[in-house]
Amino acid sequence: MTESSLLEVRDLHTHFPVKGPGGRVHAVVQAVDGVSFDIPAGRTLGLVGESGCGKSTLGRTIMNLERATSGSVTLAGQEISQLSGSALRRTRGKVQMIFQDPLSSLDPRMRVERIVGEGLAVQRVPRAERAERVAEALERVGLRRDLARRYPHQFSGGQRQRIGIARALVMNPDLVIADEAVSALDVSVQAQVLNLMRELQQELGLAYLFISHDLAVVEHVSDRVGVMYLGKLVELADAEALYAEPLMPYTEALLSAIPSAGVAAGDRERIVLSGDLPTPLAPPSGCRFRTRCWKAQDVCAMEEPVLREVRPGHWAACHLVDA
Amino acid sequence: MADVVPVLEVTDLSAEFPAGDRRITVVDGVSFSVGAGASVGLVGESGSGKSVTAMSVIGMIPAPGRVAGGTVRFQGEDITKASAKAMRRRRGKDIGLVLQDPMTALNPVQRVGPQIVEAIRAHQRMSKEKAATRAVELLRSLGIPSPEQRFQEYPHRLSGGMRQRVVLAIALANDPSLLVLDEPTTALDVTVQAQFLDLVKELRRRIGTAIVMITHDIGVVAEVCDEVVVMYGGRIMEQAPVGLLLAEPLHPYTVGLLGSVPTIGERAETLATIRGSVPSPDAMPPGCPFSNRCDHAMARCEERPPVVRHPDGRSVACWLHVEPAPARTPTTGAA
Repeated sequence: MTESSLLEVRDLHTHFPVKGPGGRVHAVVQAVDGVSFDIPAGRTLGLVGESGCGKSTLGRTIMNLERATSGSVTLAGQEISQLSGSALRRTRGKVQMIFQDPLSSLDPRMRVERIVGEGLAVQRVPRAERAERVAEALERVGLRRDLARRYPHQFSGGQRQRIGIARALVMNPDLVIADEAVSALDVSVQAQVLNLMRELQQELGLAYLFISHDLAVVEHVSDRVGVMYLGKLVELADAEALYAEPLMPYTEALLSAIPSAGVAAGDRERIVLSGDLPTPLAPPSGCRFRTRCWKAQDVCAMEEPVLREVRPGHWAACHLVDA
Repeated sequence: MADVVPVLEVTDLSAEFPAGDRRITVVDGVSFSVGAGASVGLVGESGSGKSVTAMSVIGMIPAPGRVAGGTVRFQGEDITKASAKAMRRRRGKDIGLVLQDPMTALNPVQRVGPQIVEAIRAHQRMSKEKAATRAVELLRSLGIPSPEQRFQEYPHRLSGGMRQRVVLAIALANDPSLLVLDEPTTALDVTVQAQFLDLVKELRRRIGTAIVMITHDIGVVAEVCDEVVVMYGGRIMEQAPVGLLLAEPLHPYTVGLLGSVPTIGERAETLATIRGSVPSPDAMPPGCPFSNRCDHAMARCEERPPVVRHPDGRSVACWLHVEPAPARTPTTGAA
């Protein structure tokens, strides 16, 4: 590693027990299963995958909204996955989250000033300073400071997402986890919010963990991109390398599945996967993708492929790729 | 006039919703037509009127909304004034419908096979056994593995993609001449979406159904449709064959819309944006609804722009594309 990492995630597992009648655990959902990656300060890691792949659970675990089953999450050298109480409250300012649906993540009965300032209140920042920092955060995301007196329903969808971003920024975070942060927005507004996030990164040196199902958006914002499938990180590379030369068949299929408005869309050869995602309750043996992989061989069912550095900086978990 | 009657011909359609003592027009003078085997995509952001247009076409505009003007002709027959009962007979028979969320289209407490059988027998005299055979065939033709077993499953036992195929099977149960797809893949994952779109394309080749597809995703339109209708603020901004629209959009709104979407393989520092956001339907500017967000807006845009038709099949509603008005003849007091 040439750059020092702000966030280091090592062998992280988040499992959810499924309880049956009588409270007996009869199955375990391996939502996140042995994921490791780094995010350097000021950089963006994009995380893509289909529903149920564990990308949101991963984000929530780093944010400490879900408790990690095992593994570690280190932020600027400090282990944060096992914190609780006041220690957790102190570090929480450093990692902030932006959610998908700005309407359901903003309390409709609170004024914007209270929504944005709530984290500061928890940290016992004095009222006058709080008001000033809220006003600054609003201006930074392109909202006038006098809008602080309004309620969420008085804003458009794009403005509400700006409020969500202001709420994250007011804490002066080092890392912002954006979970489908622009997915609910219309495309013209989505572009505004993406541009804003980029400006903020340049001004404030924020690192982003950008979680999305939209591969085109992820390519646009990310320095590096990780692909998840059924709880596993299956490929990790610089954005350009991943999109130009995906190594893992799943990534290849995912990329070729995107409907494209490009003029030459008709010339592309599309890989259409058969079947659906298997249930995370009973993932396939060996490589979890093998049941839908058109290249699968015997070894794929027997041994689980490990994520290895196939080319410099380009990691893939697949038995079938060669350096 | 072509001698072939289009499957669907919408002319100057308007729809409105009451708001207090006022009426808000949400679809305003929309015209397009779909020939047999053709597919037209209605594209727009939320509030563009694309869904209300589609719902008006099939007589399902939600109350208290109503069609306020214009005509909808289905196979040459004006169905604008058709009774609810007549429309119900047509839907599911001549017109198949697939909505965004398959779970709301299916009965959660009935097995999927009987739901298809019911759809067939609602419109055709056919024995239950024959209809069941037909249902299994439909499921098989839509790429559903082991259709005999799936026939017996409840909807919640199927994945999202499979459910949407069951909805499609119901829509196709009576060989409709028109298929209306309203955001059919928005709730699906991208690999499953690709499967579904491939299926729709294959259907077009195989049975030649006319398709109207409503979507916010211009990429989806590019995959499936020949013709695109771009809507904004209840009006058609631009209408063109897909290739031409993508290669050379004419309306500033279309240009902005295409520029806002990141394209894979083209890493731009910043995305082009359209400033502001879509106004609520009661706050649309007069004249061109896009004028308050348009970088090319001029005084004339306060008047409703005419639709300019190009010989290559494109049309655009924008003053920029209107030939400059003939130089004003020096009449009295011109200055």
